[in-house]
Amino acid sequence: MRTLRILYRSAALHVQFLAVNLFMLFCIVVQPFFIAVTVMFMLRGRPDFDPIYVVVGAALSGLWSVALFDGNWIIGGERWRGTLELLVGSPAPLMLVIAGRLIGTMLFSLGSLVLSYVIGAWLFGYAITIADPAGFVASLVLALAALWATALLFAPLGILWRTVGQFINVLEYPVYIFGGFLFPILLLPAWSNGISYALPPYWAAVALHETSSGAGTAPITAVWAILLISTVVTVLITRPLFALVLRRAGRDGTLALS
Amino acid sequence: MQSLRIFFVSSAFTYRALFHWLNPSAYIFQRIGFPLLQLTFFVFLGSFGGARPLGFYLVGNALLVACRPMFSIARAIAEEREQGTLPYVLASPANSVALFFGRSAYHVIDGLLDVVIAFGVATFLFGLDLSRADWAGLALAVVVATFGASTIGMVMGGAAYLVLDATFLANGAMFALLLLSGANVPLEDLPAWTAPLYWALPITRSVEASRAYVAGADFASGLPLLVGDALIGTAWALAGLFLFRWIEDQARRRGTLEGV
Repeated sequence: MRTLRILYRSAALHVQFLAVNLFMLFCIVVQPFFIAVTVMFMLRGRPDFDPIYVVVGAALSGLWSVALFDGNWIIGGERWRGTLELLVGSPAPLMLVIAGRLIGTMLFSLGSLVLSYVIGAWLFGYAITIADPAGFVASLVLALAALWATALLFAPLGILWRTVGQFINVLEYPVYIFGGFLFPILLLPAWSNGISYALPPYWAAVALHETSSGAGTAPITAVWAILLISTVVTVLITRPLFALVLRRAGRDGTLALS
Repeated sequence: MQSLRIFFVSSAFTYRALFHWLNPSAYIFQRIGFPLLQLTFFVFLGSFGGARPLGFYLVGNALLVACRPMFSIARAIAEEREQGTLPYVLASPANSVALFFGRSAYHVIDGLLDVVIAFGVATFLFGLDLSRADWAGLALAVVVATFGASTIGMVMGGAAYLVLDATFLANGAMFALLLLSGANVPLEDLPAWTAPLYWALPITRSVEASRAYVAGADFASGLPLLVGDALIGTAWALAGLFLFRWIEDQARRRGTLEGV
């Protein structure tokens, strides 16, 4: 019960932060808007063009950018405000607080999906339908969980190195590319397919594209299983990582300085 | 002479401070890695869409790499405010025009280097054919595009006084350029009402000219386009300066330099 309360409070507080954070609003509103409109223009000449593909791909770009930047910045922000030591010193486990805040992030970022749909349906006037609504909802929940776990993995790295953010931020476009958000990975060199398969966002894209457009060959239950396993494995890796970096920062006295 | 010194000193310090030069690897990732990855993404996307040949997207997106300095210039003022040094800068007797334009000088040179690298990637990784290119014309197009993108950064830097988040503004401008500059979407495919918007950008004509130069057009044929972008860019720079001064004046009057 205590765990749930911490998760809920952290998520609710973080949503309030995000609602007034211009950069995160950019990632959720402005970026998916421009990506959706640009990609609609770029892909609509294809004979097999399906607007739901662009809607889902643009929304995924927003979801990923928010997960990446917030996961990366969530520790840096505390450090910037001088509250990291207080947070680490409080009785609530740091990982739990960060996990709750990132739940808030992922829920808030769903706005990009709604916006992308509005662009496709209203701005371009396409009749957008979801082939398998129940499957899509299940895919969305699992995709959000996988992206949340990935963001959680980035968070403790911010304790280790202050400049880590500048490296992690660069991962935005590679995941758009290797994740197959807006074009199939078949376009990429064959050697790079292994990278795609190792990325949870790739499986999130497969699940959402398959259930929304009805196209695709991978058995959806297998994709869901991969998403679930990747989420669990990522959280299991993250837990000792949090402990490790906190122990190191405590030993060296570099929590606010690294 | 004093203004010239302020111009160069301000430029050098802005540049070094912005990328925290103690860590050059972060600089390489941010300044070179990010724009090349953006180029790669839009080139694959264009290739998937198939509306135009690959060269169309390669040249357009290689030139858009010139927009990277826009972020640095826009961030310069925001960083002064975040670090609490903005009132000192503005209260100093230094010529604010030299200070303002000095902030962009190094970034423009840096942006030129980025575009050269982008064309290298486009050629060696994606097979862009430059065998018929007019090199003088292409080089001039790169210079004009970089200048144009920097002038947008100047306007964003001025507006950062008001909006408080320069990154938000610069990112918005970047995505607007990806859509409206003709780098990814042919201008004729865009709705007619967007024409005043894309012609008001100081990079749209440079994209068109660089494609012509890569295809083998002679230097003179693309020159009117580049002159057009240079003029529009100058107008943007003056608008940035005007905005900078006006907002500075308002902030002084209201005592709102730190927060607006």
